[in-house]
Amino acid sequence: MTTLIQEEPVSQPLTAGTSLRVQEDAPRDLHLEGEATTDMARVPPRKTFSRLITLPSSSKKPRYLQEKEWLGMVTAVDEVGFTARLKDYQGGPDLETSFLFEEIPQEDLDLVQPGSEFYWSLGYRIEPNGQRLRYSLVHFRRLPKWTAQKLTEARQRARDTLRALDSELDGTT
Amino acid sequence: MRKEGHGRMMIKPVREERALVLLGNFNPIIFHPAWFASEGLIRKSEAEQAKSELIHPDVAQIDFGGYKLLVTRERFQLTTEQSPYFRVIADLTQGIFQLLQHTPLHAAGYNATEDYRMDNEGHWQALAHLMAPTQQVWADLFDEPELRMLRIQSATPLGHTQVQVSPLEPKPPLTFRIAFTDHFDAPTDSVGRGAKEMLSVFMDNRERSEEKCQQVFSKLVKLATGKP
Repeated sequence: MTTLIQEEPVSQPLTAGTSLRVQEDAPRDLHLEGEATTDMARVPPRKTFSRLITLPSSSKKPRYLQEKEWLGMVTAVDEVGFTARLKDYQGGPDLETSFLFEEIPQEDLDLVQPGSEFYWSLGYRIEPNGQRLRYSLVHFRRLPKWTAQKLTEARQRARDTLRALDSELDGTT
Repeated sequence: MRKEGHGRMMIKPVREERALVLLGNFNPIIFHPAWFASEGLIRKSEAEQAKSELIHPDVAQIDFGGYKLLVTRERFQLTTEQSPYFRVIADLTQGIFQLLQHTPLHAAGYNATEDYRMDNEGHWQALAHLMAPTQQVWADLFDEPELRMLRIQSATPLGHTQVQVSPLEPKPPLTFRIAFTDHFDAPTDSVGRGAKEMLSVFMDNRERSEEKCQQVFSKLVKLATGKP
């Protein structure tokens, strides 16, 4: 957890201009690096900030013991749920199965459309007190939607490529 | 210890972490939970529950519950210790930089760290001896030489891969950590031309990086336990 101390007391919330610094003995998980490395094992040296920073320690979180994971693609939707084709990340055979809408986060329901993709994982969730709970987690992939302008640009590029290929086949320039 | 299908390793890690790191030029202050929700990258409820531990022109740190984001002016980093989110953070990274497509990126790293606890203190010693036979090489120079950390690096067509192995406890250690990094440099002709090409290299290789790290973890645990 990040341990930071304030140089001057401030009332929350912390904002730019607040004077804080990283405590010298702070643990290393805040990588405020100057070193240009993508390698997490080589933790860069700590850096002192002249202004600002944060905050509270996070409570202990559950741990997941994942047993299986699939990439799913919705193939059909009906009144109560949907059917999906599943690709096993561990190399097992593809499967087809059905899900009820009640298994999906309510905010994800508008993502449930034929062709949309999701991750489905099964395993144990281990609570900080050691209790194990079986879990089934469905997470619909959220990538930025294609805008009308992007689609128009993509269609134009496809047309240009096709025209170039036709010209090449015709032997013209 | 337990048995599993599909040839996977028999010992489960006691801690797993995946971190995606991008190096470039970032504007930390724009990384706010509300921005993620407004762009549809996360659920509205996720944004409401996210803890903005730090938002500042030089650094942003947000705890989304399942994963954490840290952005400085030079570095973007998404980290999770929860396996159901390993692929989710890759999607989130892709989504963010599809939106921020003009962000200059010059390197990317796929990091996987796992801690393994052995049921026998001899397992680490066996692994250490296979990786670096300290008794043969160092025993005439030092009393009781020990391997504390080993790092192996291999060049790849796109950058390099690195593995670091270290015990996590004083002698005799029961737990050891394996840290894997697949580092990608931006294609030379794409430097300064935004995020698209660097991101494409990174995302096209993420499943291969995960497969490679699984091979590394599996091999080292098998060497430690002596089980085929």
